[in-house]
Amino acid sequence: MAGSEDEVMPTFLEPNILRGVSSTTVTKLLRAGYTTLEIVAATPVQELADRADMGEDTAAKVNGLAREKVDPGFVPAIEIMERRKSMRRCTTGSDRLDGILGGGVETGAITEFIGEFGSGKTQICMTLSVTAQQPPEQGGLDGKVAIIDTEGTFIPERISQIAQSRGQEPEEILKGLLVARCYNSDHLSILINSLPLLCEENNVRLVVVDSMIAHFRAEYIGRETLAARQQKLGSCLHRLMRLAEVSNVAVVVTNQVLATPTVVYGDPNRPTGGHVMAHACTERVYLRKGRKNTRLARVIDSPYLPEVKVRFAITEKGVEDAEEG
Amino acid sequence: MSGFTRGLEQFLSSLEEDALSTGSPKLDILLGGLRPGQLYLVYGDPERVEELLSHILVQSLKPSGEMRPRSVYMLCGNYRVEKTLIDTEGLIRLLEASGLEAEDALKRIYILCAFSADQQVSLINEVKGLLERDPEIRLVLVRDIAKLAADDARSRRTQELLGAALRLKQVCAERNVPVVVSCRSRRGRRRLPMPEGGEFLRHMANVILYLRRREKGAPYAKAHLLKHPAQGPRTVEYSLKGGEEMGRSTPPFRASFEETVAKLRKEFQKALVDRGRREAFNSLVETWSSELGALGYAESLTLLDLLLLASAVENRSLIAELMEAVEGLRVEVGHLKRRRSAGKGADEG
Repeated sequence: MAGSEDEVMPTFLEPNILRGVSSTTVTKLLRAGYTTLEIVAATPVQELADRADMGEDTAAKVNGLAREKVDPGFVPAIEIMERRKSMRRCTTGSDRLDGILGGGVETGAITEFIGEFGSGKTQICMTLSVTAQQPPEQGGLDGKVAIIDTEGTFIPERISQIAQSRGQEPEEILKGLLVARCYNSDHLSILINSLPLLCEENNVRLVVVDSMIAHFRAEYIGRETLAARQQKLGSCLHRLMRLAEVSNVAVVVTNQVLATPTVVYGDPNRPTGGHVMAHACTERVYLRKGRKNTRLARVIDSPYLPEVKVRFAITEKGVEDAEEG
Repeated sequence: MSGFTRGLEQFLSSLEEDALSTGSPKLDILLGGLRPGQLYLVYGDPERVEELLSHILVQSLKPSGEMRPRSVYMLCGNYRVEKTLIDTEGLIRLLEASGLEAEDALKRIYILCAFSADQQVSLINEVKGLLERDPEIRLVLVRDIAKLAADDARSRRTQELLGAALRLKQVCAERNVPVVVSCRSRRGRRRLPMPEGGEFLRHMANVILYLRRREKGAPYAKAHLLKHPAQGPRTVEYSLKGGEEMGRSTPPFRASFEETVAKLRKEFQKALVDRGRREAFNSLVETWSSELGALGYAESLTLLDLLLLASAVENRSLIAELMEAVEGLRVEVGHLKRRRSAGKGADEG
């Protein structure tokens, strides 16, 4: 876990930073929420043109110039390795769950928690929103947390309980949470668009979307709407991915399950959201109810983590290790 | 901050927001009342579900200040079996027991009835329109939400229906209205039966409550909380009967009890921010509500005041005892300090 001094600082967008780009264009970009060169470089040209209200040629030019400034193109793998050291990890509250995640929820990546109702998805999110505000010595990210609550599950009393049980000042923790109640999938898209600016302005280190899929499942019914739904979902996830990489924040999303009637033996549930969801998330963790108020977690997809199953418990402190036995 | 607010602001406003009562103080504490924008799924023994829904409906019609709130009651596919849209007789009894004028209160209920899944979808859309037109709607209640859905959870009709229900939840969340839905239970491999409607409905509900059939002669019914964003699964015994029975002999008692508790909660709002105090207050209310039956038949209604007084006096005496103990410790520490410094002085000398 590297300290904050190792972190690569973003280059803020300001007039005259890009040669040949007028100040009006820069103002337009800033107004649309593109505050750093990294974000401009990572955004597709079409999206830049649409959201900043400029011609495609200008957008392409701005994008190209920003890319030249910040994107070194091909780099030796050793540098990537060095860069990975600047990644930080946020504890989930349970050492064992941290263990299977390689030390906690990673910045610069999307971590997805999947499970049926009552499997602890929301509890993990709430615990993370407390632990992420702790200093790095205590396994935190020392920053604020943005929460997009699509299901109305954000209960401030619970956060205050978790904070108090973990020896934190509940008022300070609640002050460091930025919460948005999201009412439909278009609203979700708008909220995700506003995240880069929010993250830069408020030193947000963790973004939580609980749950990613709920509104999409409600609004797009039937096979014929599947393509449109997946496109929109993909676009939202892609923007979250970009945010995670560019601003080096940790993104945590939750996902629901659906029952597969054809499964006769074993667990009939599988994650919703299809391949789009599966490919967009860096790490996928499947949660299941266990005996005596414990939960089982298993990494089901990760570029480097092994598939191990661990048991954790949900208590006053949020998520913590389950007692053996 | 484009839609984002600070958690602390939400916490403070959640203390102010009026959660709707279920009619049972124990269930209120368990669920934290019925909060605006949340979806509550109640299932289990049909009689208990029916009873709870009626109580919730009556609670929602109680006037608050100048407002004369209205509620939406939607029934899905029950008519052919039971031949009743709504049990008016039972409702009138409950309304009168709560000190409400029955005719006026009944006029404030919008009743909708769906006989097929397509109708249900279009009625849900109608409810959305109602919510937009009438800002005084305080509750949306849907009975047997998944009854008209096909058994196959993946069938298009089921998905359409549940999709419509979820959109209703979205609208209610925007309008700050709680939604209470009921459904039948489905026997499965698990210890507790699950609600029908599949994973989708279970994900959609913020709170899931299973009501067990009351055992013969038992004064209390059992409720199992299966899902809650702030609490783990747990079981409580609750009673709703008190209201009606007491209503006949001493009509305003239950109402006055609830009023007092609500008033106290409002008065102590600032103090109740502290978790310890909130828990203490809740356990007091819980104790009181268990005594409700006894209190109802008691001669004097001031028993509640006496209890309050007693608890205040008890607290005072506890505080005094603690102060004394602290004072004693302080004197002792002073002694020890003096002795240590004297000892040091002697060593140096």
